[in-house]
Order: sequence, then structure tokens, then C-alpha cells
Amino acid sequence: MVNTNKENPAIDTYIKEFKKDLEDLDIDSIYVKYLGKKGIVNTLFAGIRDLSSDIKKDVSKDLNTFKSLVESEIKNKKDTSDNTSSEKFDLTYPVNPTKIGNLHPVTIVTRELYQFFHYYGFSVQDGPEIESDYYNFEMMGVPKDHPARELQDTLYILEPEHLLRTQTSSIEARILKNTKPPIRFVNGGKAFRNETGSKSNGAIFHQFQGVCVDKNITMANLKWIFTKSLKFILGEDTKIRFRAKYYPEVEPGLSPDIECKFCVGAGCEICKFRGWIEIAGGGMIHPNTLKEAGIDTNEYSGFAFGWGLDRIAMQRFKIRDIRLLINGNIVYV
Amino acid sequence: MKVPLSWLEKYIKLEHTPKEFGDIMTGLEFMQDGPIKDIENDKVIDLEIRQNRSDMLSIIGVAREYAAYLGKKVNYPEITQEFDTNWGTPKENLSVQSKNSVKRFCTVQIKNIHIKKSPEYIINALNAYGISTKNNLVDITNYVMLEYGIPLHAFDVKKLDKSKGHSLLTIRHAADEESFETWQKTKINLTTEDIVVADSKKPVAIAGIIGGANSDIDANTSEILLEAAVYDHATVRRTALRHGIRTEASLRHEKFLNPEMVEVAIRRATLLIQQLCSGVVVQIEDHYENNEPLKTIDFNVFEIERLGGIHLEKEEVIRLLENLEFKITDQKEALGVNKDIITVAIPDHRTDVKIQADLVEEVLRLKGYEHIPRTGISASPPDFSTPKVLLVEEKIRDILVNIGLSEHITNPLVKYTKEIKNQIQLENPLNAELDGLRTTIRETLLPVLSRNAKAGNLNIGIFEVGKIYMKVKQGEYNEERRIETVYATDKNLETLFKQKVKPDFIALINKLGINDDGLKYDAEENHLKYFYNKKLIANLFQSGFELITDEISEIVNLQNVPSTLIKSSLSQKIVEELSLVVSKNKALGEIIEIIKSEKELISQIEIVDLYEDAKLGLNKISITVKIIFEDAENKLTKESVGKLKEKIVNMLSKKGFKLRD
Repeated sequence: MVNTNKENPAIDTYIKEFKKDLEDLDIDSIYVKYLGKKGIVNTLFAGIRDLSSDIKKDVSKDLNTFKSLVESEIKNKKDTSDNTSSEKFDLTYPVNPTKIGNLHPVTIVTRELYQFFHYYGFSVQDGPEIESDYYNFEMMGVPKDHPARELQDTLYILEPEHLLRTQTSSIEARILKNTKPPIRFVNGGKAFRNETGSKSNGAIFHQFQGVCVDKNITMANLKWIFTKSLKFILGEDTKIRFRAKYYPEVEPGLSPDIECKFCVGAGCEICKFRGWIEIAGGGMIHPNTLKEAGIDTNEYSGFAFGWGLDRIAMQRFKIRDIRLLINGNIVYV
Repeated sequence: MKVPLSWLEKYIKLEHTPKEFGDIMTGLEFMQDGPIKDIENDKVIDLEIRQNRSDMLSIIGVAREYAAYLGKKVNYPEITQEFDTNWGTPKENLSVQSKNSVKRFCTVQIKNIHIKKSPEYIINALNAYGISTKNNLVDITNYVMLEYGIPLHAFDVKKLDKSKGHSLLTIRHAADEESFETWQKTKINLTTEDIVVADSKKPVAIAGIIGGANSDIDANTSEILLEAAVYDHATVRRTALRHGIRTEASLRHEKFLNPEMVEVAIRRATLLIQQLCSGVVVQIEDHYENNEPLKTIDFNVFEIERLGGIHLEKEEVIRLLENLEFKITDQKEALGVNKDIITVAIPDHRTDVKIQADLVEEVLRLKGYEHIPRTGISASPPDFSTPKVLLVEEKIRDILVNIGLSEHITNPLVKYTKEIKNQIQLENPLNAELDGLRTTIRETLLPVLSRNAKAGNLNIGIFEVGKIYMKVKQGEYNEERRIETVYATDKNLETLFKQKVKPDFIALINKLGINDDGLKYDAEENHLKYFYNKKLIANLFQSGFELITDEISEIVNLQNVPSTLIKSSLSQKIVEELSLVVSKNKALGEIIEIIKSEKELISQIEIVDLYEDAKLGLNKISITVKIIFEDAENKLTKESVGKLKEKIVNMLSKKGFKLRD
């Protein structure tokens, strides 16, 4: 017979044991142990049959509390285990991956560059693609019939003096003309040429333009920003060299090359057997351009640079033909 | 410029391997183009010469740069001449009419010419460069052109028409439609803009571009007029472009040549003709009215540091300039800090050097750009910010990619069609199929779908962020930002629209936090127009949608997270469902609009079921809408929600949307 005297902590012992079992045993074993025909609850109730009625009342109250505790806890445990336990099925079942979209490679590199330049205080600006001859050429040091027009075969629209910009320098021209220094901005955008595209030159392509006009700006600043940004976008191990190059809108002119990532400098079709890829151009903004914009060349100097975003994307994503980048010749998988 | 290295070595000894030489020239501004080639037992390096350096289209020009790099002198050809005193103004041989277009025109009349094969060194040199050889006389004109960069031409005097009272050669504007046949037998109809060299009857050459078949040198030639000239570069360039003729001569004449250079070139050619063709000089005529003055620049040496960011001592600056054949004609003592001024005389061949910044580049490129340090920008950033629309474009890109669409960039050039009002047409398209600008993005984006279909991608959505272009009126053009999506499906369009296009569009609008209150649509056939406060912001089509980027940018608040997207899971919610049976012919969008009119206490409306069934009746659709009523203050009661629901049901019923029995 079970001692169920109030002064006796027997019930508490059962509760303790039950709680421990709740943790340790599986649901079926707990059920059998406590609520089975010969389980603890039934056994305890059987044991109080012979007690005197006043004791019996107290003890049975305790037992009932215990019984309902056991019942509700077992139900709880069963509910929880029902929710978490899973049916068995084939986890190796073949599926198609969830479709996630892709940004265009040119957008990816443009964004990274915006992010980089933003860190150094360059905002992003934009300008029109249908441009006047003045902003596209004349203000950038290429008047009519200048031999440097040779560099850029131009698409004109059926209207005098209007063309599709051949370079994003037109944005530079507009902003220099309409803003007081200091000026610091970048821009990525389309440029158009009236020429047949090849593997390395597109008739439609993307340029990235950067301009900084302030006091004491020098070519040393330009070399610094080129080095930083090219390594940022193409990797710290990128090899860069600087050489002189003529562009009508700058003086002195400068061009950084990067070692070709396809042939690692050995020379291949992509780099035209140079081992180096001409990736950008820049220099100190030509004094005539600054003067045309109304900027005092004694007080201010500035650098400007531009590079081909398509070529950067090609090097980054190992795309061998620039024409893949336009008109959905890319298939994302 | 193709440079045969053994030819180069006549003027400067190579102290480097061909590869090293290519690297040196590349660093100096003349990039090696393509691999070094073996031609005629010679190594030939191709250098890219930009438009500023007409002097570098010559072997001597290349030799000068290399000599400057080495700090040595060029071994120039010796030109000893007997006719030094004979330079004279034009007499009977020469008449220059188009004076604005002719800076200098010089002829040497030479008789007793013996036409034969050129000596080996000339043949090898020209072949290595890539010009075919003809005979000793023609080869000499080409040889000297490549040597000095000044084109020369020879006319057979016997073939020139000699009318009385006329000069042998006249430089004049062509007559309209005047015909001319080049020595290569190409027929050209000239215009009055073109300048020709003519005898008394006909043009015998297009000035600065090409000679004619009617006066060329052949085996029987015995007397010639040798000519060298400098024209207005623009006239030559325009004529060359107009008639599509580019020659070795025009390539040089289109750039800035100094007329001073004519004399040395024609003397050198005359000497070679005397030596190799046994020619005898008869007379020299020289039209040179405005002598080119010697140019000088007062150069503040500090400009190198100010623009280049590197300090060089004055002595080094002078040494580098002198290596490049600049002459220092004066030096002013420094009166203050950074005021060391030197006067620099520009050599004749350097038509590109005009201002101090040009001299800065000369000094720095010879010093080597690798010596310029890398220095961070010390000034603080200016107060300048990125326009909002550019940020909104980036946000929309991200949302569309998250929805599962991929970005493409297409060529905005399309075929021009008169039917499209306001389309912009190109003046000089390279391809007749691409002679206009797009007026929608979908017209260039849709073909991408078929290209993807060929690659096996049948069910995709793609988008482009770009511009469209329109003519407003004569002389006024507009380009507008658009973002457009197009979808492909192997099922039917209706399913595509209901399961992809419209849900994607609504998701985008929600994610942008565009408030439902201001958003209205107009349904047209196969087209929904979305307005926000009466402004068109988007067009929804059966297989894609178009966003008017600038308008959307106006109404998007980039700083606020849209309140509709963030709900508390703790606030009180009561979920109700309404099942309606409606006629298939009705625009079902109205159901949602009606329910939305009770927006204060409704947090979400969701279509849970939509089907057709014969049991419902002919052309009937069953639609079940789940409405989540929500009150952050927990004041909803079964009764109040019941009343709201009843109100909604009544409104629906008035519009003919009945509850299912």
C-alpha cells in the first residue's frame, strides 16, 4: 500500500519522477507507465480504497490533481511531437532550383564602381544620350574637321548638330559648364559609334566617366584613384602600368593598362597580342576645356578619366566577346 | 605606323631588342599594335599614332623619339643641294587660286629622267612597310613620304595639257560634277568643295589625296614636276571622307603639318632623283605666302609639379626638352617661389605643342609616368549628391531580380518606320536595318526572348533599364527613362498574365511602398494604364509591363520602409472569407477595389480560390477572397467585423457580385 499521508511527500516524489520521465522517455512508454491499466495512476487510486473517508478525501484530491497533470502533459508532448515529426519521403527527389534573377554583368561592375567612388566622395550624375556637337566634341577639344574626330565615327540623327554621344565625356562637359568647383562625380552610361562591332569593340558600349576638379589636383591623384579602383574591381593582384596617351580633352594624357587576365601577359587575341589590355584613358582636364567652362585654370586643376565598362565586365566574368553583352546574347543559367 | 627596324637604324642605332623597343615606344605614347612581324628579312613593329602627332607618321619621327629616350642625336640624311639660291615665287609652272586651302605648294621641274627599277634598299624598305614598288621615281616619292612624313607627288610633264596663257599646274576648286579618274582607275564625281591640282583642261590630282591616271609616271616618262604641299587639313579631310578615299597621303594631310617641313622633304626627294634617276633640275617654284613663324612658349617649370604631382629640377626639365629637340631660347631668373620661367622654341615638326600643359606632358612622358607618385585626394568631398531617379532605378533592379527576372541590355537602334509618330531617324546609319531609335524598350527586348527560347529557356521573365527616344518637334528631342519587363511562357498568355505578369507588377509596386490610395487604373483592350494622382506611372500588358521611371521616382520614398509590408504579429486579427459567384464577363478587378474601400481596418486581401465550373451556371466563376481585418488597438469585435463584412457584401451586391449560396 502506498503511503499518501499529507505529511508524507510521496505525491511530490511521483511528480518529480514523472517530470523526469517526460524528458527522458518516449511518449508511448510514459503513457503505459502512468496511464496504462497497471500504470502508476490506476495503482495509486486502487491503493486508497481502504483508507478512512476523511483521509481518503484529501488523498484522492491530490491524486486527481496528479492525474490531470499527467494527462495534460502527455497530451502536450503528443501534440508537439505530432507537429515536428515528419512523414517519410524521398529527400533525394530531383528538383529545379528556385528562380532568382540576375543583374547584367555591366550593371554589376557599374554598381561596384559607384560604391567604390562614393566612398571617396564622388556622386553619380547623368546626361543625355542624344547630344549636341558642342558638348560631345567642341567643348572637349575636338572642333569641326579636327583630325581627332577620326577617333570616333559618329552616328548623327536626322537633324543638324545632333548626334548620339560617342563618349560619356559629354556629361563632363555639361557638368563643368553648369557647376562651380569643387566638382567630383562619376557616371556609367551608353556610348555609340558608327562602326561594325568586333570581339573587342562594340558599336554600342558602356563607358564609365569620372571627374574631379579642385585645388591642387594632380596626375599623382589620378594614378592613385586608377590604381585603387582597378584593383577594387578586378582584384588586388591586378597588374597595372601607366603610359602617355593622347586624348584631345586632356593634357597631359594618361592611360592605364592592365595585364591581360586571359593570357597573363603572354599575348593573345583578346589583348591583341600585347599582353596588356588598354582599359581606360584619362589625364588632366585640358586648360581650354576648363576655360570654356568658365573655370579659373590658375586656381583649379582637375583630372578626368573614362573606361570601358564592357571590357571590365569581360575581364571580370571571363567573357571573350564584347557582343555577348548586348541584345541578350547572354543566357543566364 | 609600320616601322621596319633596319630602316629605322639608318637614323639611330637600336640599343634594345625589338620587344624592348616596342615597350619603350608604348611608354612614350606610341602603343605597339599587334605582334612584331618578320617581313623581307626585317623586323617590322606597328605603332599606334594618335591624331596629334603628324610627325610620327615617318621613320625619322620615330627615330627622334627613340633618340630622345636614349639621350642621343638623330643621324639625319645629308641633303646637299646645288639649287639653294633658286627658290623662287611661282612663274609659268604654278598658279594657286584656292589660296585659303593651300598653305604651301612647291614644285621642282626635273628633266632627263631615266625610269628604271629602284635600288634594293628602297625596294626592301617599301615592301617591309607595305607599299608596292613601281619604278625608281614613284618609289622615291613614297620613300621620302615615309622618311619625313610629307607626301610628294610627281606629274609627267609630257602628259599635261599646255595651253597658252595657262600655268602648267593650277590649284583650284573643282567644278560641280567634274569627273576625275585616279591612277587606280577609280572614277570620282567631284564637288565644288574639293580642291584639285589641274592642268589647263582637267584635274590631274585631288589635292593631298591621290593622283590621276592621266598624268602618272610610266616607263617613258622623261620630264616631271615633283610636288610637295601643305593644305588646310579640314579641306583634305572633308574631301577624303566625302569620296571615301583614304590614302597614305591623305592620312598625313588630314593632320596638322607644318609648311616649313615641305622644303626639307622636296630637297631630299630631288637629291635622290638626281642620284637614282639621273635627273636634272630645271626650275623650282614655291607658293608660300604666309611663312609659318617659329613658335615659342614661356614655360613656368612649376607647372610640372602643379599638374603632374612630381617635382623636377629645372636642369632636368631643360635636358628632357632638349632631348626632344626643343630649344631653350631664354631663361628668366626666379623672382619668387615657383616662378622659374624658361622660353621654349618648338621644333617645326611638332605642330601639337601649343601651351604649357603640352610641355608638361613632353617632360613627363620622357621622364616616364612610372616616376609620378600615387597620392590620395586631400580635399574634402564637395556637396554634390546623386539624383534620386538613379537610386530608384537601382532599387527597382534589385526588386525585379528578387522576383526572378534577369536583366538585359539591348541596342536601342531599330528600323525606322514612318508609321511610328515622333520616331527619330539616323542620318548616317551603318546598317539600313538600324536607322532609327526605339520608342519603347519592349521592341528591342522582345527578340531576346526568342534567342533564349532557342537556348531552351522557355519560361522566363527579363527586364531592361534604359531610355526611349522621341522627337518633340524640329530641333527638340526627348529621351525618357523606362524600365520594361517581358515574359515568355510555353502555356497560354492568360495564365502567364495572371500568374506572373500582374502578380510581379503588384509585388513591385508594394515593395516600392507606393501608396494604394493614389493608385488608379484604366482598363483598355489588352492594356491596363496605372495612374498615380492622375499621372501615368506604368503600363501593364499581357506579357510584360512598362514603368515610367521618372514618374515612379517622384512618388517613391526611399527613406521609408513601406508600412504595408511590416505588420505586428501581436495585433488583433480576424480572418473572414467571402465566396462570390460572378459572371465571367465582368472585370473582376472591381471586387478588390470595392473591398479596399474599407481600408482602415483591412490589412490584407488575398485571392484564395478562383475557378470555373459548369455547376455554377453558364459563364460563371467562383471566387473566394480572404480578408484579414486588423486593429492595432485590439478593438475589433465579432459584431463590428460582421457589420463591416455586411457592408462590403452589400456594396458588392449592388455592383452585381453576389455571394455564393
